[in-house]
Amino acid sequence: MSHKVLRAKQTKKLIGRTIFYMFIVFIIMVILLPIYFLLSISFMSDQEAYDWPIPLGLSFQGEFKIEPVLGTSEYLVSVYSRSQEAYMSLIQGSKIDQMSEFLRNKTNCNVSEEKLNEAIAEVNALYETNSNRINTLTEEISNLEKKILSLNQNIIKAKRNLSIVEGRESMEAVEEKLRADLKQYEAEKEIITVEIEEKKAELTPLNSTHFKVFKNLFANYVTFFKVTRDSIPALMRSIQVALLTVFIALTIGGMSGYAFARYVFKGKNILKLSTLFVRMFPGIAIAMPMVIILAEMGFYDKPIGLSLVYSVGQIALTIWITASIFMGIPVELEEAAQVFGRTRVGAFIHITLPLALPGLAASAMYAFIGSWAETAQAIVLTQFNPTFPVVVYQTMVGAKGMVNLIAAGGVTMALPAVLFTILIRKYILQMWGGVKV
Amino acid sequence: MATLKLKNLSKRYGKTVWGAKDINLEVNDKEFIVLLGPSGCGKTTTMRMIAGLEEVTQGIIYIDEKDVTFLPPRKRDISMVFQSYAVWPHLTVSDNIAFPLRLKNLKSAEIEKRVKEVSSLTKIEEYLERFPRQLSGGQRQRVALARALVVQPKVFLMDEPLSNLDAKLRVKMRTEMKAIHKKTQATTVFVTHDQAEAMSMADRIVIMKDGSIVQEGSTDDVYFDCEDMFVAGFIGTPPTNFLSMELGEKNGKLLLVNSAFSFEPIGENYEILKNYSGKQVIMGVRPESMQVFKEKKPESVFSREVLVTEPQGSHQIVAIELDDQIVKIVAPPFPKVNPGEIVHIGFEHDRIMFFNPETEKRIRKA
Repeated sequence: MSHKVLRAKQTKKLIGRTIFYMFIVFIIMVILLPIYFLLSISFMSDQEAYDWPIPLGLSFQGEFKIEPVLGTSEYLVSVYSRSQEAYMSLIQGSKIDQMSEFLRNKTNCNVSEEKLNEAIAEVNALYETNSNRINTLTEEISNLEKKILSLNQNIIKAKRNLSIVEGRESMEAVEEKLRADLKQYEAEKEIITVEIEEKKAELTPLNSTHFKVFKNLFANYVTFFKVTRDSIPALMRSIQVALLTVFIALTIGGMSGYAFARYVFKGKNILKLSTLFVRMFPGIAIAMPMVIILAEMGFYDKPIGLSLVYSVGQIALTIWITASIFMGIPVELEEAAQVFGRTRVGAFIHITLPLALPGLAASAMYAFIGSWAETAQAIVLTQFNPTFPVVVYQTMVGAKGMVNLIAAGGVTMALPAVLFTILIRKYILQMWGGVKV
Repeated sequence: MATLKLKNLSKRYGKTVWGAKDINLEVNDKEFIVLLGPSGCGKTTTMRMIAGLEEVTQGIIYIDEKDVTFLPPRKRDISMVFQSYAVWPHLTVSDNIAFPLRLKNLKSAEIEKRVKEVSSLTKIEEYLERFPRQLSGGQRQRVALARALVVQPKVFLMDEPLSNLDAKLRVKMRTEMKAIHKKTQATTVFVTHDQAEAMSMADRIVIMKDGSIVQEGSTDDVYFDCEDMFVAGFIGTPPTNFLSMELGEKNGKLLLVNSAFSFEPIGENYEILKNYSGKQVIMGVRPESMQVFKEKKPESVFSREVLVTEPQGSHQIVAIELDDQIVKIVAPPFPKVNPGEIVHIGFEHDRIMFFNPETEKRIRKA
């Protein structure tokens, strides 16, 4: 009896644990997969990005095949597609410099003209030595292909006839014959197809050569900065805006947070709540009238103007975070500092501020991320000096379908925020990592 | 070391609430004074005003005859031990202790010497390099004490420093703090709501109620010579028994009459009560100033059935019921008294205190 109960308990536990881990894995997938997807696309070449299904692993080199196009002086270059598991034709032509540039843009592999010339020479040499066999093989293949063509016509004819005859009485004999024919045609076709495959397989090493070239992983990033209009100044402006916002939000928000935490006054709760109302208005709605106000102030199209607008929302959040942090720091610590020789301000700077650092770092992070990645208001509030998110957005709209470029822009946009977070991670971990103040 | 003088010190919150009202107090050099009272009586407010952490509404504070009423805390030459210790968590113990010295721009050798001195006095030498979160409550308490001692202030303020410790540690720290005071001879103001603490440590106890001083004096003064019913009821466990009596006259002699018993006031008590004939008085008698006899004796005044007894080891507490009121008597441990037993009860007449039932003030000899 007890044994049974025990086993039931164990099973229950096992099921519970399984569900728990499934949940964890699900969450990890939900969070990590999109990030990984973005990251891997940002390293992919144009050609790879449009393969479907997109290979999950990163590739570090491209495999190319080059072959002469018979009867012309042109060459056909193909690249190996890992999702199709076959070579895909990329370009056919005779001008080496054009081909080299095209391949570079398409595959992110630095296929130099020398490399192409080398490969062409190799192919030509191959062709010289095997020309007889190649000719016979190509002839045979073209004959076989003609046969398939006629077989296909027969198959279509038989199918059409069959659809007419089918189901009619007194036509059974005809129907049966047609079916037999169809079967025979298809069998023949199969045989010939296999034959063609074999011939092609024999032909390929005879008239084509392969070469591998390492991929330039950061080609997209380089291209992004080359293609987009003043993206580096935009990046600088964005950092400037974000840091300014952090500064404004922390000074004003931190001070009000301190006031909310330490002082008792009438309407404190309502006032504190009302700071949140600001955040309830959509940013874009605030941005419209802000254009006029900022223009009046002479801040339109300047980082300081943008950061002022962002601060409005960030201050509210900072007030809430810092107020709760300051509330957690006993007043006695400050009072003790005053008794033992500090001024009121000195006590705040030397005692409260170091203790509040984790909370301040956390709200700094929020303010940074919130203002760094903001796009909608930035589009409205800038004209000739856009911020980086605006530039990425413009790339998305302008470079139609350059998914890998946009991904590169997106990753670039994420980097400073990630860097900033890593820099202040110690304090953030202190705030949420359970290290007690 | 120095003297501290409070003159008409008052604190008003809002328009009508008085945190402290007309506090007049003089603390002598080297004196250990305890502000004692129930919570909300204004003792902490008074202390915070002395420290400069609370604005003064009215009155003047003198430290060493110097008016410090409007000086910021750091300029008052005081130090303080807080109830929550207020040891800075981001500094090590030695940094905590050295903090006030560093701000005085002392030489580092001097600082080190004084930190060492004070940490050996408070027995925390081993913990100097630790952070407060690595210490127990008692150890943090010692750090706070060390930090307060190291500055060698004129006045030493302690705001319920022992109330966050467990009972056993509290008693131990009490003795230690008294020993430290003996060594340092610092003028000290100590705030507490624990009367045992107050009585065992104080040179002088100041009892406060509703923002005013009710009585000040030595432990014996506030215990045996209470100024009013509040003090008598507040000090002592179990508290003073209050019995409502009427003064009658019989055969030309005064007689204290109660629904249960009557007796004749003798000696001092006669002198005190002789003008109160025919009036109501409240008789306050401490539990240990009553005697319990198993047999009727000439000293016994009345007899009663025992309601419950509480053996305490060193003594026993006998409870009887008198006029719907529980009267507690502290009796010697032997002979044992049992519930239900009839006992005979007498008074130590020179220990009885009489109070005016309207003003609740003590009735003294005219």
